[in-house]
Amino acid sequence: MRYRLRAGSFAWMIQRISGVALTIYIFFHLYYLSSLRDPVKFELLRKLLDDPFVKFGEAGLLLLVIAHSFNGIRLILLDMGVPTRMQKTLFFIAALTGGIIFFIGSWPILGGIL
Amino acid sequence: MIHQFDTVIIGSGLAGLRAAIEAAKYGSVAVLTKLFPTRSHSTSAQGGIGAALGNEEPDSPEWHLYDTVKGSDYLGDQDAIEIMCEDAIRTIVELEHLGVPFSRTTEGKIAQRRFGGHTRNFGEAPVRRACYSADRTGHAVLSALYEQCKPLGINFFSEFHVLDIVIENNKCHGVIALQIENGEIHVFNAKSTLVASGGYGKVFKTTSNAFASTGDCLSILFNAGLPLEDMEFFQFHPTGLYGLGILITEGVRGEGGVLINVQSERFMERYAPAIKDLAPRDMASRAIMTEIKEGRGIDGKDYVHLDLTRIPNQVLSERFPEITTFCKIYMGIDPSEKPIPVLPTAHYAMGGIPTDADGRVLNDEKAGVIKGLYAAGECACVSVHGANRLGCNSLLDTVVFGRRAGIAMAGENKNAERGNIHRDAIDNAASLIDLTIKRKGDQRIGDVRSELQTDMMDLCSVFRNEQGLKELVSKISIIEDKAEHITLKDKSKIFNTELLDAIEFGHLINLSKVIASSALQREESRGAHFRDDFPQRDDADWLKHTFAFKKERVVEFKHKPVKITKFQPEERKY
Amino acid sequence: MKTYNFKIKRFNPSEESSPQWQEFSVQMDPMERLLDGLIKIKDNSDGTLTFRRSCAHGICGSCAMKINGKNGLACQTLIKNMPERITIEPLAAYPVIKDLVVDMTQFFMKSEEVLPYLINAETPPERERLQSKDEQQKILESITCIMCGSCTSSCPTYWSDKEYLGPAALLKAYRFIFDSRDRAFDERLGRIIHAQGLWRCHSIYNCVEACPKEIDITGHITELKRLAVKNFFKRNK
Repeated sequence: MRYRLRAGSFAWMIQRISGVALTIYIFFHLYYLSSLRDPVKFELLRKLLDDPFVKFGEAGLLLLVIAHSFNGIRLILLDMGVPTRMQKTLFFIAALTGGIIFFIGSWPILGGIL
Repeated sequence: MIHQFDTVIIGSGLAGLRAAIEAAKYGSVAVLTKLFPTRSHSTSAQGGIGAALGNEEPDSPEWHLYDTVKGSDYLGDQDAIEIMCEDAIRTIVELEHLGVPFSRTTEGKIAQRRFGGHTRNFGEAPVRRACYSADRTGHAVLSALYEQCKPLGINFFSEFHVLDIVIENNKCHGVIALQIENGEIHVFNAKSTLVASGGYGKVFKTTSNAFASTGDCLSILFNAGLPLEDMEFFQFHPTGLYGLGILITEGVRGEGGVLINVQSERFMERYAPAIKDLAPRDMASRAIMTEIKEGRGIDGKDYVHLDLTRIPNQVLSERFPEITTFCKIYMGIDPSEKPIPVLPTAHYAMGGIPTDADGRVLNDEKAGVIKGLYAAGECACVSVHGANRLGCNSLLDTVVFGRRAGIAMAGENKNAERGNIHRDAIDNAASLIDLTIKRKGDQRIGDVRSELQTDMMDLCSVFRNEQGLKELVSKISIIEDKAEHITLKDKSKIFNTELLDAIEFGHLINLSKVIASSALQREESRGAHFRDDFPQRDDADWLKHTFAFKKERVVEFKHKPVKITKFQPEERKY
Repeated sequence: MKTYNFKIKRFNPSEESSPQWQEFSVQMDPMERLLDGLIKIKDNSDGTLTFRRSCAHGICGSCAMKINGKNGLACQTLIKNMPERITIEPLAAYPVIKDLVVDMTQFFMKSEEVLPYLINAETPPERERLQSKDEQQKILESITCIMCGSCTSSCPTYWSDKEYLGPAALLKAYRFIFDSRDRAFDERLGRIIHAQGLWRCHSIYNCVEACPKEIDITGHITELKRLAVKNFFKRNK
């Protein structure tokens, strides 16, 4: 459907995409966690974490979590009675603070390779 | 397809829906509309609906009656006006009970505001009589009535265009209509038929009326040999947005807005010293046109200013949100900061299908009726508005007489048989469509239509004279010939709006002819009909209704005396 | 006068197999409305161009369409606020009948599901029922809806789930649920609290942006959601 994208619908799309991506991630995450009882596998995974691609993935994960949770907070605030005229402002506030936190948070992850 | 109903109603505005609610208590009802019900033009009514509730200050139906009679320039039938004003309070209360969200006073009662020509104690000073829902009164009432039709099981036929109203041996048998969506012809066979099809402001170039206001049913009945009453009286609302004709309600003047000319003079003080800007619409429109003619229009142009900056901002935004938005969107003007350029705009037809007080359609000037045929609302002429309607009386007219027609139809239906609609009537309707689609020629609807609308505006609006009207009648005759040569590009059966335009245009020409001829024969000035060559009211010769009949290509006239009960005609001063 | 390019999506499903774009050049005065442009095309270039219109000043709700990718009323769109190239399509999510005319039957049916009329079986008083200014204020915005269909057609949830009640119907429910004179609270609430009702709204706010009457539709729906939650806890206490 071709329809002009606005802050509200953009936020909604991000919420869906990040939600789906995080759900898929959670399953992989649980699978790998359960394999950590085995010391050999543990060591293998620990090494994998040094791989720059995986580090980028980790930063991506942070981005997804921030996007999903910050927009989630925005939606809860709107549900609790923050007036609709604030929805765009809230979107931009969420994007900005989320961006800053992502920047701070991804530095330790990516700092070593950049 | 053939449908059988007890009652068929053409038009889903206030009159039609109010009648439907009444008739549905006793039998099956179909409502036909060429739009969707809530798109009817009643929805555009802004200012209010009149009733002497006395919620804000003392008022009485007797004063309302007097104001309406005086406003009509004594041409209104006083027995009918009395029915309307006496029934007004009950009507408003009933609307409120049906769910209309009226604006409220601090005590929680229905709020009321001042309106043009409505006064206290027989003309002393303006009175708060118009009940309103911000500046969306029509929309609020129409929505509520439509909503209440739902649980009653009323059958709506939306986007059905009426082609013919079938009358045989002085009895109406129903309606033939075109389903716009697929071009199919439907026959609605009924014991009684109500015409509530609204006005015909589209005969004029500048009008507050909707595109759909083309008076199809009036024209159909006129062609069938029935009379049309008082067609020379067409109201021009003083305050239409300059260039667009979109209405600014009189309610703004009731709340303190004033008209001013280029000298920043509040000129209505000269024309109506007692009630000033709240003078009736005919007088206010003439005053504006006179100011412009005498060179006091704004910047030498043909408009004056409506100054709403005097209204407190809170009142403006609370009570007039809609017009504040119009002005911002269409004129780029914030009415709380700057005055609005306005010019009179064609607004309301006082004339129409003659009826008695129960909506029965008259077939002559002597009160003979057509069986099973009713009319109510703007298309009808009871006549409660006479030569000039007062603001906020039209909504009242629609609900009061819509209801009465509904009751009368239910009564008649009890002992009535459904007549047959013969094959040839259906074939005639079908051939009208065929002929219109197949017509060949070099004319386009748009051009010829705007020619008609411009001529009507120039020669038959606020000021009229013999020379102009004669010129107009012959011009209309030429336009009639041109219309024979209109070709359509759209030959499709599916949603063919070009075809509808062509059919509607035929009706507009027909009605223009009646309006112009009626105006030409009335050699006096009364209410909205002002003749430069006969500037005085002439009660000796013209205190009577005009009945126009079709006679081949010309219009023939008969007259009917005015019903005068309580108030003898006197000079009309405000 | 300035020339504008109108790019219009044309389709007559009963006679053609697929929609086609057609372009028209129209001379427009800056103060004219988009609707005036469509009428000029119909009158001067192509009489087959089909669209609905009636009041021409934003109160009847006939001429809603998708204008440059966003729903709105053609009669309320001033040409001076538009770019020189204007793309016009029928409202999305409703079946096209012809060109810009869509079948709105489903749209209207949705509102009927929420019992869209005042219900109060108590014997009415002799005069009007009293309603305070605050109570009136509560429904003031919701009563301005003109049923043009812009909102529901702009809703991504409705695009994917045609069983969803949609913003217009929910707004209608609000109008009566919060009317102090109405007595069908439980029944009406029951009709919107279901999988395809209230909870299907995902606060996307497209409807708010599309509404030509500037009604805060999502805000009203959110208030209904809060009411539903409160009501749930009250019942289960």
